[in-house]
Amino acid sequence: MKLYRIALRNIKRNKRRSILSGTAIVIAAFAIVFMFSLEGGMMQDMRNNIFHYVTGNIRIRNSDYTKYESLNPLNLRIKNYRSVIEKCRADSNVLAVSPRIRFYTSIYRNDKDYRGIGIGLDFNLEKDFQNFEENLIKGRLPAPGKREILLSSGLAKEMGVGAGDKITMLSRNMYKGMSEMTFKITGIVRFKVESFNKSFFYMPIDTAQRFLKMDNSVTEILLLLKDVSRLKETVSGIKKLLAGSGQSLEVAPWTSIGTWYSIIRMADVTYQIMALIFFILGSTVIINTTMMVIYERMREIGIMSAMGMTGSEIVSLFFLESFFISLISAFTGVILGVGITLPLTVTGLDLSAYMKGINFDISMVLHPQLNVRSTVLVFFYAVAVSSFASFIPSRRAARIEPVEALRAL
Amino acid sequence: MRFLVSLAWKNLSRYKRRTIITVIVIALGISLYILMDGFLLGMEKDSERNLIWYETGTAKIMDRDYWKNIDYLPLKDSFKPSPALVNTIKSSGFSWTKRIAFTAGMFDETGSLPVKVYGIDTKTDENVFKLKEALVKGKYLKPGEYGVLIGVWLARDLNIKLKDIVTIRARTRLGVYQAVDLEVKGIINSPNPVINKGTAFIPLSLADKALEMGGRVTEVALGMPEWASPDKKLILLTGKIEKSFPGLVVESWRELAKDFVSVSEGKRGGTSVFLFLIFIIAMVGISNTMLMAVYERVREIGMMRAMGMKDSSVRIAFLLEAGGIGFIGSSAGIALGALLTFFMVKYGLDYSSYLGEMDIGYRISGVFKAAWDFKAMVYAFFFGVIVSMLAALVPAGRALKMEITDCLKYQ
Repeated sequence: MKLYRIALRNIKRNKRRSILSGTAIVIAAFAIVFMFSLEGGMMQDMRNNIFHYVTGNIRIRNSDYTKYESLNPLNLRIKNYRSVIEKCRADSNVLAVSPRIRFYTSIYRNDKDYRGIGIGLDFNLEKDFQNFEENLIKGRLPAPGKREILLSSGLAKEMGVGAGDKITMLSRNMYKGMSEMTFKITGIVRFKVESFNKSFFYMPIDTAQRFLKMDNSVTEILLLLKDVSRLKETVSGIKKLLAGSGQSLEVAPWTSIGTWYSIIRMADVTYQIMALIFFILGSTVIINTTMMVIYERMREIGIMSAMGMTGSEIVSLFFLESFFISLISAFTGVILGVGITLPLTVTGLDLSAYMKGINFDISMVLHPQLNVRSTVLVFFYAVAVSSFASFIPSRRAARIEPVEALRAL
Repeated sequence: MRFLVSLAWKNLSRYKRRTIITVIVIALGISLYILMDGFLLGMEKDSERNLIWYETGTAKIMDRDYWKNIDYLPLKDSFKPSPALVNTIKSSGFSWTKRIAFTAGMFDETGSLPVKVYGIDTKTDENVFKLKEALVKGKYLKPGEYGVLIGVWLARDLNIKLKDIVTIRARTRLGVYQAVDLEVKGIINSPNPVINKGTAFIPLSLADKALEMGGRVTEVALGMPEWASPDKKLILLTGKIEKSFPGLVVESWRELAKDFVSVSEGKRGGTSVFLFLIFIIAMVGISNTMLMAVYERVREIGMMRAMGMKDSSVRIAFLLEAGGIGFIGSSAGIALGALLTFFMVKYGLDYSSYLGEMDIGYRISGVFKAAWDFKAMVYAFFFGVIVSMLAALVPAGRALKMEITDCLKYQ
């Protein structure tokens, strides 16, 4: 009789035992798949926020701007920004561009000065970046060229203004003189990340240029790439394309923009440690269950060897049993993990219940991201661990005398 | 009952291998849960510390109107800390220091920047804050000198070096502009980016003179050693202050740093999902091993019943045995978890080599450290014991429902 037939029969014969040892594998595989997706989702979320709100994949600035950044040096600008954008677009890996002007204002209202951080941008181009339409909670987007602005919910709340109100703001323009202008608030925007809702407001880029006397220049241009893995080549490609533009520009990949990249890397380390803990615990559970199953069957092993089965046959029999069980269970576990993750990727995992007692009216929703590679890895890991766990007890069992094994409890 | 206890004990020591396997699962499940929990708590505590040690203290006493408008740091809403107030604070067991906070423009050849300036009492400030430890260059302030300590980012942005002269300009308490030239005495690089980015420190007596404060301060910051829980004492102190000093308020660091607290609550929401997953694996591991251990002994149960043991006694015997395994496993788990946590608290996990050379702009230790969470340990202990007892109950109950002869024939 072939060994694998006996193995399959053994699995079927004692269903409860098979199910018990299977569940351990199912749960371990499921939990690890789910954890990976959750971590993937968190990392993806962080990356996306950084790419879309802060640095893009590549950030272009005047080469002196970053040095004096805290002084908001509008004079250190990118001139003729449209032609710079055209040049960047010549690189086939560039997916989207976002020219921006960042400036600081003081808004005088009801005897108080409020500080606001203004971002002048092209609302049409922002669809691939900040996606204002989706996050608009009141009113509409400002129209190009008009004296209209969009407020973040935090700033609107702080000043007690809403869509339709008019506010006057004062800002230092490019020539270090003061500019003052009155704007109509057309809408309120609220992003999913709370820190982007404080003190920010947005206006059409041409209005900002007029307000700050910047002509056709901007302070930075952000680029999103089609293929982020080709970041390095694209950076040097863009540098070449911009070399003849007659101005000295800094082309920085997001990985060199210190703080953000290191935050991502720190998060990455944290998650790797967590994954390690999961793997250790998962392995222990699987190994112990498998060992338990085999040790409890000492008498059976005794009978088999008394009837003439060789040691190596016994070892391979138990190996096959474990292998079949783990194959089915690991598959079930992975499918369960995928089955739970996929719908959550779309709907999101609402964590707002944990945020009780906070007066933020925003829900924290996490979108797990399934990673094919780690999911497959989990499957093989579970199969390998439980199959090899069978070796320890079965090899020992195969070595003892049949009489001893028969008497075992 | 004594018989049952000794039977359970005998069974435990008789089936050594089974006991060991089960104990290992329980112990590892519990210790890893504890480690994970301490690890997550440690990360949270780390940011809390940076706030408490560098910005907020454990709590602050302020004028009622000042707290209302704290975003604007209104100097006119300052107060004189009376000896009675100081006595009240001292008798409540807090360490304390006085500070004057104000906004100012800081000038240099390159330009000006808005900064937040603290007048600090050079003698008592370290009772509450850890500024001295964050000094990376130069010297700490001497009382009354025309010196300033500035954050490392601010220094870089304004291109300021040690011994340079900077001018700060601010409105005094009475609303007139005042400018002072100060020598840069030291550079601060703290783990708190806010301090590095836009904060400067000058001696309290200088701030008092320059801003025409006449002995008034904007805040009295309270401190407490890290291991001590300030909450109860804070409530007591708040009560006393409300009664004797109706013009003042006491606000804890949680109130002072509301934004931070709510963000970290959100993060906790995310991390608790991880803890929950660990919990699930541990629970399944423990209960499966236990279920299997008891199912394999249906025959034994049949024998015990055939010999006249009452059903309830069998159940209790198995409960005791499972409880015993749970107890041993949980104890081992707590011990191992405590050991791991101890190392993680004391030495932490050094990942600085992984991060390599990096200029984040603020000091990161590059070491993950855990924190003690004794409550979680107690919960985990009982969880281990109870889950294994419950898991044993299911198969034992099933076996008791069968006919004795079926039990004896059971495979």
